[in-house]
Amino acid sequence: MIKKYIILILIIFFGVFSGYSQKVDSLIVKRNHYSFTIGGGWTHYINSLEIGKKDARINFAGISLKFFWEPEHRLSLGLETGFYQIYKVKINDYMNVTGQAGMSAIPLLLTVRMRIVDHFHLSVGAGLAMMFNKVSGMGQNINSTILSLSNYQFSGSYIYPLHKHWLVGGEFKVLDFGKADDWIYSVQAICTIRL
Amino acid sequence: MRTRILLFILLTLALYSCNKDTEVLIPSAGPNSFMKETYPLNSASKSLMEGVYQVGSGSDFFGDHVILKWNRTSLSIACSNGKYFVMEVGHLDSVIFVQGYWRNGYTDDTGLASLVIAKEEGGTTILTGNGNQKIILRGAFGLESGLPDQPLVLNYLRPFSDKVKKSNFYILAHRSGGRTSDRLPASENSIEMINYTEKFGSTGIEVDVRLSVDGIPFIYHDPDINIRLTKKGPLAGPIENYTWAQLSTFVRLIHGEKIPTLEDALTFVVDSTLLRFVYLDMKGNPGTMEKVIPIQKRILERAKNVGRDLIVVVGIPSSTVLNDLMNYPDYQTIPSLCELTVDDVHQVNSMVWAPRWTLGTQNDLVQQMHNEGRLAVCWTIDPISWIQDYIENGLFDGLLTNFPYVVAYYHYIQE
Repeated sequence: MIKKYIILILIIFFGVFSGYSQKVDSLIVKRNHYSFTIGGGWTHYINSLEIGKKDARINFAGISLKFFWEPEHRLSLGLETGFYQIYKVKINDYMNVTGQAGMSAIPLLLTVRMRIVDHFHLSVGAGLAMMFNKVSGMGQNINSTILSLSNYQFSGSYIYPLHKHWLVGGEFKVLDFGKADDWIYSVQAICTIRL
Repeated sequence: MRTRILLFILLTLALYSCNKDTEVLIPSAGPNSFMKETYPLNSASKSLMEGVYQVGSGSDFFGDHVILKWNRTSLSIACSNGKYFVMEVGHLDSVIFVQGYWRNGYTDDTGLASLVIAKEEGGTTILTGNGNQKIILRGAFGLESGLPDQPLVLNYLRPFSDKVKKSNFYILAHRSGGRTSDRLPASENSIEMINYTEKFGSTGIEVDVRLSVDGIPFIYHDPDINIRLTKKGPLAGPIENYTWAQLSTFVRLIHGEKIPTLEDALTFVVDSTLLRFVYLDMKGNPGTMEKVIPIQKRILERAKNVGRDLIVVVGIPSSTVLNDLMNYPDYQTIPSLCELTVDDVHQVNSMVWAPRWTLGTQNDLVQQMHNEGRLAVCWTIDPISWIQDYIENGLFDGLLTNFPYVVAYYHYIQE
């Protein structure tokens, strides 16, 4: 019986000791970060419309939001969203009635980012997008929401650290919205908070 | 770095490979074709050309036999293996020239074909109606746009049998005459396809009926606007959300046609084709029926006024549509086609019973329909062997198919 108590006390003692040895040394720099990035800038629709192509407006402002887990190696994993107006088309029909139709999208992409050289990153993402088709004129205003299942983004970014927690830079991004086969590219200024 | 560039190129190629081809090349003899110098055949001459032909040279490609059947505008030649010809015919003196293209409906294979009926090999007989009906078409076929260089000879074997001549069999073509996915010269559910489908041997069509948000019935298959069926435009999402003016302005079918209203499509059937059967497949939301029935009545009246024996039936594919029809006053007088059970046929007094083909020939039930004075057709049957089996062993009054030339071959070749 006494033998059992001795073994139990030894287990507790070594357990606590070994657990205590894992405590983080305050002198070691934290290498595992989370970051939140907001971006805004110019978007351009690669005009592949066959109907209303010449009547389409294809340059707009767009914003993006990204959340990344940044472990100590080169790869980061994150989620990306944003809002992009893709195009707007205004057409007069044969009775001279004006109709307008526009498409916008909110993507939600799982993104992998890789640091290639200092401050320069490439990323690729895939995921869902909600696409919004808004039509006005010619009888009624119609709003349709479409779920697009296969959407991609490819981007390159330069992110310069101003401070331990603040970074700024620029990004060039290409987005594909699969359901409508619409492609846009975007040049954005970005600002990152690293926690 | 080289690996990354290679991966980028492969990804680009993979994405590009998703682009669709919407049309198989239809070879043409071109504007210099001498066919415009020839004279058209009269109806008696056309009738003499029709029948079953034995394939001499070219049988390894087109099978041992073909059937020749005139349609409204051209001569159709149907083969046992899914190949068909669409041919223009004209004569100079006593020589008959037959030119056009062939196509395999199940693949993208196609090519030019050029045949001649010499004066002494049936030319004189066809044009004068005198002499023995020993017709030989000699010529060649080619591959893709290449000139015809492979010999083709068709020898007249016999006329269509009395059984065929007496039958009132309907060769019903799907989606107004042919599917867009089969890369045909016109888009499915378009007036252009309705105009073309008789070249495939079709004698009737099925069209898909939907309702715009402002209550205009139109023909279109899918529930949404998509780049499979339409040119890329600024509308997307459920098609029935939009007004007719919006659809008419912003949407074009894959070959550039406008989506037709149901009334325009049916008016074209009456005024410009010889089609005998139209099956209105009700795809739309509840409430479509009450908009469609008045159009059906107007079209049947229009056909009657010009002496056309045309059947136009509203389809009942589900119990929802059945209930929709039963909400209509005097619904038992509305010509309808019921895809459901025989009991449902009786309930709404359908003119046509249309079971799906996978349920078998069901000869006992089809016979029961005939005994009750109804028609029976089945949908949508595509495999060649099954088409052959249903025609040889079934009692159906028609088959709905994506390959009407196959149905035409196995129907007209019956003895």
